[in-house]
Amino acid sequence: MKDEQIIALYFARNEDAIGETDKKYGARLLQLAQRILLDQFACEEVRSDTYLKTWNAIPPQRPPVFSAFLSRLTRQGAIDRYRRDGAQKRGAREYLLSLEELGDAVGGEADEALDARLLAESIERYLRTLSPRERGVFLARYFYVDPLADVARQYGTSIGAVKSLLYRTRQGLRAHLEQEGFTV
Amino acid sequence: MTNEQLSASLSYLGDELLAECGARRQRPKRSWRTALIKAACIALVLFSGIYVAGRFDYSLGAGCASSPGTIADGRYYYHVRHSGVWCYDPAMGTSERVLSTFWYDGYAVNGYGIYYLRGETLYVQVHETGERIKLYTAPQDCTRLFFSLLGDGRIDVRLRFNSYTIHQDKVPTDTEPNVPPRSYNDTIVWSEYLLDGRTGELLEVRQEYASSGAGFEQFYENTHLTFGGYEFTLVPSGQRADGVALYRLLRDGEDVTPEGTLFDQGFFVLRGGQYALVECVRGEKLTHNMLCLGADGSVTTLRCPNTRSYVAAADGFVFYDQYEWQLAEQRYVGVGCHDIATGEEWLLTVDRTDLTRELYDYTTDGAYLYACAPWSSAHTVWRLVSDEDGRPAALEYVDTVDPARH
Repeated sequence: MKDEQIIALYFARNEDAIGETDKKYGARLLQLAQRILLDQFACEEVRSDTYLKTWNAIPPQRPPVFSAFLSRLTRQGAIDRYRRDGAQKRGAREYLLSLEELGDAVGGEADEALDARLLAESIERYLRTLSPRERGVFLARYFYVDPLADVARQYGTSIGAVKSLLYRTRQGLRAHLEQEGFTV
Repeated sequence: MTNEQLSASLSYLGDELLAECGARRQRPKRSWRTALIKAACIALVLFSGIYVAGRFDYSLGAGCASSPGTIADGRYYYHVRHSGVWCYDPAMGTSERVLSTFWYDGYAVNGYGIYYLRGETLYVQVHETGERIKLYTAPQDCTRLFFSLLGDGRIDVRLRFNSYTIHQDKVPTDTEPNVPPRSYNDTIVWSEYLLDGRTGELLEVRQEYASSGAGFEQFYENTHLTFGGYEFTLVPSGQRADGVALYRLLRDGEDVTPEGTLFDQGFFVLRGGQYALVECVRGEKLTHNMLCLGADGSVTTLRCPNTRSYVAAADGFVFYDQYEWQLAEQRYVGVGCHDIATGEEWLLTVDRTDLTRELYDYTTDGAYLYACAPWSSAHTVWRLVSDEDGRPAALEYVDTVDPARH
């Protein structure tokens, strides 16, 4: 079923909307959660929460890109769960590795006053200065938490080339954030 | 700003930006080589389907990421994907498969047997006799069955029912598109039962078809902990401003909650099964302290700085991963040991000549420590070496169990 048809089901408050969402995107959303959380039970809960939040949001929202909308909710839910687990957090390997890499770009103390949305707007401005390839590699690794080998395969290149590209973009991001007044 | 904050902020990027990358991820590069491999796989599946259909015991290889197994009666039980549950005997240095399963639906081990799921049915294979007993089958409308072994031999089974029965008084129309949705509970409902661990007899109905909203009874294992003959219970004691429930801690009915402290999460049983942690809160804030509850009835306080992660415990000692900050980066230091009785702490000496022997996650019975990492199929076996005072001082490498070689 096409995304427009699924969204129409949400607008009609037809319960099949969730079933169709699960059929089309369920496996992918679960995989995204599994990249961040180790606990399978928690991953399934995060996916279920995504469906609930989607039902709540549509209508009145009409997401222009349904897949990205769902991915955002799942990622947010998984990270919230990871952070909520406190001292016993056990994140999935890829997420922990991607966090370690992002430590190149930032490495300061936690900033309680940081507005995540403002930060995201700044990051988006930076990403728009990159080529589509650089932008895609960055998002594949740090938003979708794809393993380096998968990213290399998607872009038809080597893992070494992906690592170099990511290193350069992280350094560029650091410089951009400092320029925009963020404490990194 | 921390790397976690940076990562979390990416969730607020715009959909159009994400869509550019998402589109590429949906269109994998295809090649003649991929098509040929897929055709060969289909042929192999068709050919082998009848051959394997009637068999129960088979192995199709292993080698996926591992998680720590369980120690029962001195033996280490671990899962090998597409093969089953294996058992390592440290005295003999050998492994044998004790339960053959292709599909991993979940398993747990205690001194009585190996409990495992096959679809929505729970079985136990008794250690002593090898007999397999069907304990419980969930009703047909159950989406997924979960279970936990309680310390007193009972089983906590939880049934999830995915239900999309959402009702609304009015439906949005073209002339009235912004109809406010009616308030409703979760789309998932749960049932929970306590069963006898040997017969499957129903001992208690905890809740049935309950949605996880207001009034939902916390799962039994989150608020009840029975081991060593003691029963620890978390009982409700108000809630935070954001609605999260708060609890007090009882031991055999006696209130053992430290003054000024409450709890907002359930029990976290440390690997090894002899101790559990529960996180202390004061007002709305974490205190960076935890209570450590022992099978000997002990209740002691553990510090929990953000450079430490508690993992396993046995025989009066808690083992943890110690980190330190170096130039704004958090680096792993080693395995620490905390003496519950005295509060003393120290790092264990570990032979790190072979860095492939990861100690990411582990379990222990006080004599041996079994470690693994999610990105490796191998489990490493270490002997806990004590000093003249009987305190763990070092980890001595003994063996590597690699399911990929099974």
